[in-house]
Amino acid sequence: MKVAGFFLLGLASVFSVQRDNFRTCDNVGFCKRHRALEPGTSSYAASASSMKLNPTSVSLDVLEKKSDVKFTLTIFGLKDNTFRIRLEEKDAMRKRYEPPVGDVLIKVPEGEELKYNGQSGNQLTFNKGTSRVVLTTEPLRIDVYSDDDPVISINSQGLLKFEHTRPKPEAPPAENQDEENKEEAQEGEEEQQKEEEVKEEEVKAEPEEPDMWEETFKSHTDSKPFGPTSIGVDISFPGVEHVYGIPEHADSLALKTTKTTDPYRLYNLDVFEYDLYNPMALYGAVPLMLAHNEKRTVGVFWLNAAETWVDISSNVADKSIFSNLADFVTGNNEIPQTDTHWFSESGVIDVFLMLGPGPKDVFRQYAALTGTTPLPPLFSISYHQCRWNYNDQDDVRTVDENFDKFDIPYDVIWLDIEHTDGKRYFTWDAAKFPNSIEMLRNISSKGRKMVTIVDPHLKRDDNYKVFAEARDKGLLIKNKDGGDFDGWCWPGSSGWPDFLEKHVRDWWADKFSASEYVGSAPNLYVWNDMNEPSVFNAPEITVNRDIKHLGGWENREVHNIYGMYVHEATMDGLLKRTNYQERAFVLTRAFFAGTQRTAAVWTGDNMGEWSHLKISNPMIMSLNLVGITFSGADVGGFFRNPDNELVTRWYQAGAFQPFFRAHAHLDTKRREPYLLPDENVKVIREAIRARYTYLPYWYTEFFTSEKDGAAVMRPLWVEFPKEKATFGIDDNYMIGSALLVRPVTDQGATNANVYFPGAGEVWYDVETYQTYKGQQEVNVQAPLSKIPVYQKGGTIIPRKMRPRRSSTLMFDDPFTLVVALDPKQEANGQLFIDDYRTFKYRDGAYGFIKYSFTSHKLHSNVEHQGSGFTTKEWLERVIVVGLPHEPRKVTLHQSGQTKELIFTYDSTTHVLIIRKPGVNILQNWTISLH
Amino acid sequence: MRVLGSGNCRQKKIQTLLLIAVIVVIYFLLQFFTLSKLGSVQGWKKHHFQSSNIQHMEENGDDLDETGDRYEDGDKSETGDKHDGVDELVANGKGNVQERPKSVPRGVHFSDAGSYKADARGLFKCLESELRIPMNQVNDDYCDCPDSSDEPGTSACPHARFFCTVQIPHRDVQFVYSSHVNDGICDCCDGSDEWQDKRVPSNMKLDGKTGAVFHTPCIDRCGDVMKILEDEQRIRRQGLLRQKRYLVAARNLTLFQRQKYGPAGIFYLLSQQCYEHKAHEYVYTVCPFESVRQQGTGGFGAKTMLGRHGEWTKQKSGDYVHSMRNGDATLCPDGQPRQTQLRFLCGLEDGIIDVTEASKCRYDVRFSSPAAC
Repeated sequence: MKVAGFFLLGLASVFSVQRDNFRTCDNVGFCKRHRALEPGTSSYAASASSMKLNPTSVSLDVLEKKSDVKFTLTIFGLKDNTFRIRLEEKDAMRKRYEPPVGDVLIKVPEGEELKYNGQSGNQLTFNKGTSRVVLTTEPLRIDVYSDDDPVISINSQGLLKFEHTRPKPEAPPAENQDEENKEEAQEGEEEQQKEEEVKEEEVKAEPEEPDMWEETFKSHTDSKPFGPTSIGVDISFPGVEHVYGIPEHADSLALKTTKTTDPYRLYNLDVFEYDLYNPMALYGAVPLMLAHNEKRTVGVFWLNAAETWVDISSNVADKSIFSNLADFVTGNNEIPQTDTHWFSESGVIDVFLMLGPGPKDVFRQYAALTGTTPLPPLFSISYHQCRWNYNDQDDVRTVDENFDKFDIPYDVIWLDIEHTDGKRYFTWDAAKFPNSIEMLRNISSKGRKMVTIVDPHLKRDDNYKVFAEARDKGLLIKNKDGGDFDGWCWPGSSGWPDFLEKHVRDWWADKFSASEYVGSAPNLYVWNDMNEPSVFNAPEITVNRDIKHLGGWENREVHNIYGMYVHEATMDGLLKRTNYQERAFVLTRAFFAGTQRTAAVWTGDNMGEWSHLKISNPMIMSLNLVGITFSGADVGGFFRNPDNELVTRWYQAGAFQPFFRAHAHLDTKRREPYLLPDENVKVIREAIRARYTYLPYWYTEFFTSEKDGAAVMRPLWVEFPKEKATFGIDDNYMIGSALLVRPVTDQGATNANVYFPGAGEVWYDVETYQTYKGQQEVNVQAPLSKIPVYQKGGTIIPRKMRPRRSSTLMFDDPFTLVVALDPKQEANGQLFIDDYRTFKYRDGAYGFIKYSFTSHKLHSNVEHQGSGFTTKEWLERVIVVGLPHEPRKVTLHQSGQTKELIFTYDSTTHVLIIRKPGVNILQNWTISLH
Repeated sequence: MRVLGSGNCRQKKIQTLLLIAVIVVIYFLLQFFTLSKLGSVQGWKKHHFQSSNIQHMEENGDDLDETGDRYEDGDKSETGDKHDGVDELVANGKGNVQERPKSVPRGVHFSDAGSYKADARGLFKCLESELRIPMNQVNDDYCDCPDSSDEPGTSACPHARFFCTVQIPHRDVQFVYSSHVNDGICDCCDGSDEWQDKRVPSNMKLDGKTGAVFHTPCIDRCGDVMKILEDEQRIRRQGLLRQKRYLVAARNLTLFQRQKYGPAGIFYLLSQQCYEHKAHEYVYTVCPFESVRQQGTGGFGAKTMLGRHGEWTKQKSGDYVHSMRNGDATLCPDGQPRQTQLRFLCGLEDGIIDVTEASKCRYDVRFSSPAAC
């Protein structure tokens, strides 16, 4: 929706992000400390004699030799080609935060036997299936092999650094040092080898650095009562040039070396008018990285909720011209390697290694840890119309009517913060929305829904029930001195419930009941914005690191997980309304690992510029790679006034991205699609309608993704993992396994370069059925009316070709099957149907149909039909694409009956259209081409 | 009228004089044209009736469900409507509806019946393509024609129009988009678009009550529509009778002056007064053709200028829009001054219907006046 900076910087910052509002590595103490480490010999050593073997895990003592601090290292064998490696302090003075099991990890991961394979020299080997872990005790290093190939190395560069808990020095680096510090900071940090008197502690103190016990950023001082607690280690991927993931960054899909930039930062922040192609932190964080080469995909999940930075270097990308030349001259064919370096401000080292070997295996392995996106209700994957703000009931009615008048479908209309009574969420502005229930009923009567915004900041107003209750019950987060934290957000002075606590989440969930959220209705759903949380007058526009949560944790320890708890509680509230019968919808801006279970995500406050349209594809793909499949970007761009061409192109792109919502800033001109010139209205109508025709396909993809965790919007390499040319592609992608999309993202473009992957594959333009061979780039015509979308030969896609006002009204409309033949004249596909809105599918009340085309026969095979589940949906058309010869006759065979079907065949496009088989969709039948 | 606007252009010397001469000639011609139009009030009105609200239902044939009394909105009766030949309806006093003869395919307007006859070979020719299909494939719930013309009565084609079986005479032809056919929502006032009698999912009815539209089973509501139409026509007729005052007031204006106030200066009278309107937290003061201001309710805050003077941006088919510019720019996006569109709609009294700020610093004032009838 909008941004903290709106008030603070809105006027000053016309062009882009105010970078100096946000810390760079240079003004983050632990980032500097970890980054300053030089690769070399690690001072950590494991003790083989301390080894404790368990059936599925092994643990050893590890000693940091400079400080004599002891740690425990545990290696777990987990089901499905996964390992977990934990390193924690043995005698910590203070417990370190770990997200409770059930909150990020859906359960304690299932173990699998880890076999000790003996010691050789200083190496211990453990086998699990076809993988093995080799632990070098001194210097400590862990190498993971899959089928004898080294795939992941931990601490091979010796960058492990675990800042143990320690008492605060009695004479802390004094104030005068603070001042010194500022000057030093400007000159460089190298001289930190300060001598420290060893106190009476039993451990040898590490050199104290000035920002270990207090840090200042701008006018804010972080009190750091527990001192330095950061952790970090290097993780290398031998043989890998391409790594992906760790959203959220406005950057290319394939992550870049950070040699000359800051590391990629993960710290949930509200960034006003964010810049593109840089590693700055944005609204959410998922510390999951995928490393991919032609042979294998592996994943590394760094389970840590604190601020995290990731450095990336590559012996390929970082090679100097000289060394390239040297390689050339010497003929040295160096193996590529990507080295990453992860460090977090606190917590423990807890890393999951998922060994694939394919991208979809990694999706499944990660899904087993953190869960998947539950099948969204159909309306939520349809088109959403949003604006900050639809002013009042009349405005809502007018927009709603205009969509019908212009025959453009939409499912959900949204209200931003202005709909409330003075930014008090769960309330309505009585003058503008005097009868919200009537408004909700009116849109419901056309099968439509509404989403209202509910942010986590509560206006400090004794007469605002939600706030007063939260305060009186002691549910608000505290400042470092124990009083309720008081920060500034949309309503002015505000408080924030502590969503980390289950009882606070339960309290929040109850606020969505019909009796508490007065003026709501069952077709109202919710949007959580500003849940990083955004605090206008706090450092980096978010809560101070030293604020206290009710469980005693500092924000520094839990920062990145807060937003997820907000939307989780919101989703629970919406589900509770129907006693968990109806599925619901929540959109969130902040996110963390596990967010996919309870919310869709959008990429926040983007801009109405071509570059932002372009970046939406890699950003959403990155989210998809880390399980947040249901994600999208504001169509049209949030800030600025995009021109008609850009709006139009953005609709075309959005129609083929998982979450499809138009949104606009309060200061922008109205840009509902029907307000554009006729030419654009026509194109946008067709784009939105195209989305609706593919809803059965999207819906089926989301259903299967709930089971296997697969990305819905996929980078090409996910489908073509061996094809190196796809590894760096940002602007082509797949929806599922069948559709290739290349949105046009350049101003004035009338053609586009499309990369068609797959040797031996054939691709069909979904409108013209023109064919393209795989493994080539083609410059295709793409006038304004054209969305370059292609169906892969060998697939069958179910569509519903009849436009309706809303997806709900498509309830029993007929299907069209598009059978795109591969060179072997075969194709396969599937269709999932249910009531499109409840959880009954989980009790089996659904239909799942497999389609296969082989030997000139199309078979419909009902794989599942829940008892008592029926539908009126039927089959109106079969389009067979890529059929070289016209059949003489087409017949339908069903339960012993044979019926001849009418068809047309186009010998130039090789397309056969079979007319009106007329069968109910939940039936077995065969159509034969003779 | 735009040509006249260019009279502002400050070109020099002879060029200017020549231009002015030309403009004057054109102006007189235009005035003459307008006056002659006014001579026939009915003809004039025919081209000027329009309302932003009801046009919607006119164009796609949505009936009163969406625009009638279902939504809380008291303004409907004041807004105009484009009805060709509205006077005949009133004049002959008949409220008879016209029904599609049985011989005409479902969804086809009877005037198009000829296009839906089989050719010599018993085939139907798609209206805008050369494709011919067997006559029994017309309206068989499968789209054959690329131009959508073979399925006028079903939802099978994406771009078809369903003409309601019952047509109310003297009103724009009523049709619904094929996307609205057989979807469980009654769009035609006779419900003819819902001949399959589908039932919408139960959760579309909140608390079991009807919302903005009626769901199947449909009942005939054409009588209600007729009544609303008659009310509108009555208002329009009365409005026309009241226009004399406005024309008389403008009588002493020069032709140039009149031009500023719409056809024959009919809106001149409105410029002699300011009108107030309270909405939410603001009071708006509209002085037509001079200024529009906003102030916090109860006199809070300074008066903010929302637009002044201005020019006609639309003066056709009954759509009178006077755009007032150069308001205060404080706190506006990109420092662009506030603008207000003053939209005149047919009504019996002079007054503001409502004021909206659709996007920041862009205001719309809907103004009711007999002058707009």
